Amino acid sequence: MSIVEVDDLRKQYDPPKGVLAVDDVSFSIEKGEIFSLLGPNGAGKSTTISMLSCLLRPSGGDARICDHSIGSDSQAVKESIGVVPQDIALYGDMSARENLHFWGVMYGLTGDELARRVDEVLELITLTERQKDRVDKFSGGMKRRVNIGAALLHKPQVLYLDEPTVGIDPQSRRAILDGILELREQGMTILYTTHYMAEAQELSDRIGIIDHGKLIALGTHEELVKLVGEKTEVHLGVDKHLHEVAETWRGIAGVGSADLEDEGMLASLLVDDANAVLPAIFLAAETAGVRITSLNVVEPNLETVFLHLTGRALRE
Amino acid sequence: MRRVLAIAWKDLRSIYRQPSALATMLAAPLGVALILGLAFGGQGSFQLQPVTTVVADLSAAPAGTDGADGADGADGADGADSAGAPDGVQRSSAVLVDVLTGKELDDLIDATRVKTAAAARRAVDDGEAAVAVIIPAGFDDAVSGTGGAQTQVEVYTDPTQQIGPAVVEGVVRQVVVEINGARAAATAAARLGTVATIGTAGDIETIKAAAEDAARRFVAGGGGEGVVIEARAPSLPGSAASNDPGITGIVLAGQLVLFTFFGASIAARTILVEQEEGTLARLFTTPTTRGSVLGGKFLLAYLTVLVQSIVILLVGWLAFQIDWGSFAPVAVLVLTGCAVACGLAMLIGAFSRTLAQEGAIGSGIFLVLALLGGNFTGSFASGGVASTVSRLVPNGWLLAAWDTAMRGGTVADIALNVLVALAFAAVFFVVAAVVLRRRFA
Repeated sequence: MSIVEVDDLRKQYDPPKGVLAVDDVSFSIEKGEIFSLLGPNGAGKSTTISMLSCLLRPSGGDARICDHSIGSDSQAVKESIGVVPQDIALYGDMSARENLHFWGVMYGLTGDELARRVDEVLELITLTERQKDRVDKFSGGMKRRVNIGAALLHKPQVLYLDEPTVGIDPQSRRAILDGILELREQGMTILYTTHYMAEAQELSDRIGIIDHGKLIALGTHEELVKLVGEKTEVHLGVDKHLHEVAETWRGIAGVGSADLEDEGMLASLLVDDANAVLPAIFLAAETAGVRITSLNVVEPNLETVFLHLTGRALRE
Repeated sequence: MRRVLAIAWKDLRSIYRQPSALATMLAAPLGVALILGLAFGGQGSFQLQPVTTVVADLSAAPAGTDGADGADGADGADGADSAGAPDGVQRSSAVLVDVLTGKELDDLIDATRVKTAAAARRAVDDGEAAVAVIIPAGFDDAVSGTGGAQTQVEVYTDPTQQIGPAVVEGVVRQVVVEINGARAAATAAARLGTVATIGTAGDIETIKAAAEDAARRFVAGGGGEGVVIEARAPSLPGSAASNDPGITGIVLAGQLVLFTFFGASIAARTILVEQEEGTLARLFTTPTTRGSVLGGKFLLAYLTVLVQSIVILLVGWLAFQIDWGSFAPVAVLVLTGCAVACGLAMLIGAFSRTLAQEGAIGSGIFLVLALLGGNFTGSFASGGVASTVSRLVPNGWLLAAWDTAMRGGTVADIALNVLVALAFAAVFFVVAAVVLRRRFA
């Protein structure tokens, strides 16, 4: 049984004519899995997480977290989850330790257990040395780490992270992503929302692509790429025109198409497997007396998947 | 409960670390009380300074004489008689002079005598006196005559002053009324004798003389007791002693009540602060219930104004020597005032969407309540429409209770006021709770 099951979740603001922010979204998450919701801004990711956090009442559908319904058993759901909001939600005039202590109390921790968990989380987010400093004096990356740490105090079974790397430097982002992977190694189930394709691709066991409130695709990275039949692009630059050798390339098994640009000096090929066809491509060029001056291989990614599915780029 | 306390304590520490909050809650009410207290003469009751008065008694001069410089007026000796008055009986003019210059009215009138009317008027014109009382020439003859002749005491006043001259005029008017009364009685007696034709012409003359004598003796004796002004303060039912809280005490009590409204709003505002900063939503994702969150905020507001009230009371007692009253009624009033302030603040916070909105609406409401309730004017004790209006708002009831407590009242004396104020608080809180639960459902 999945640890998270979402069934036809729906949210409409100001019905009946208001915005339909989430439109019958269904998915499940297995225990120990990192599941990403990938989509542009305004796609419905945060609204979905808000409903799964019992912050927003769904307009329709239901979800079960650790076998507790978000509609009828919200207290039990909240005890099972940890939520890392998109924006920093900490008390700036309190120290890192004071913040963690307070949130620990809010999660029901007390006494020695609370003190011990605060120490552990401070170490996990590598802020033990700065635990007595006020949070409003921290850098953005440090605040993000405290923001995440506050959701880990009670050892939740499922962790929601709503775009946790927005607006931070690459180094801090790297640290956060590594931390998330480490949590997965420890067996935590993670629901991760992002509009960064690279993050979804790197972290996730499975990805749900969401746009305009609808879940338009769901699966592993490979499944999604195959789902839309995207091919690898191979871009070649040559020292003389390619018209003859281009015909030869089109005849190689595994090459879908070969288009010429720049008066025949540049070629773009769509291939099934770059590793398999490149030797034949090079041999054909050599036979035709054409020297290849540049090579660029672009494998299909979620950006191309999104573009294929929606007609728009993910970053628009 | 632990979560409620944690929420309250977190915000309480934060509030009392903010200089702006401390200024609003503590410095402002104490500063206002200090300024108003100094303006009204410190700790004592509101007191009128003695009115500087000059008196020109020209009664001994012939009628129509204005007492030009050099002409004789009364010589200033108390009770001096002039020719024609019966031996041992004080003249009417002397009675008036005695009243104005006597010790009984020392606190109200600081009178000196001058010889002429011109000098008296000049003293007022030059700002040396607020009032000049000019007893005209022929005054006593006109008074003692029973033929209805009129005479006029002139009260010449400084037009820039109102209270002082009004007091002197009132005193003079009182004496004149008594003189007129005596004249009326004497005239009636003389005419009665004449109409009744009770005797010969000589008998009539005897009656007239007797009536004149009676009039003079009345004014000098029975009516000549002087003008008595009795100052009384309202006594409270059930209180054996009645202490005067003084102007500073009344002002500080008004500021205490008003600024606890502001103090409570600073605390209640934390809901909106947390909403804007995202921590409120985060709180709602934890197992901590909405009731606990709101309960923590109410407890925070209550503790904030409780500390604020205690500090103001202590400073008032130590620095301004204000006697707030017995411990029991003071404690009841502090606890009740805190409940009213918190309920009101929660209500305003519940209907506000942003911090800016809450600040603007709250300030406006508090000031209107203060004006209606008499926090600045003491109108709750003035009687009439103002006092009635003050009963429309909870602070009016609280201030009236504080006034009673400071005058020595007991818990029983303020019970009705406390109950009404608590009823206001209960309504505020219930409505706020309903609105907040719906908003954060």
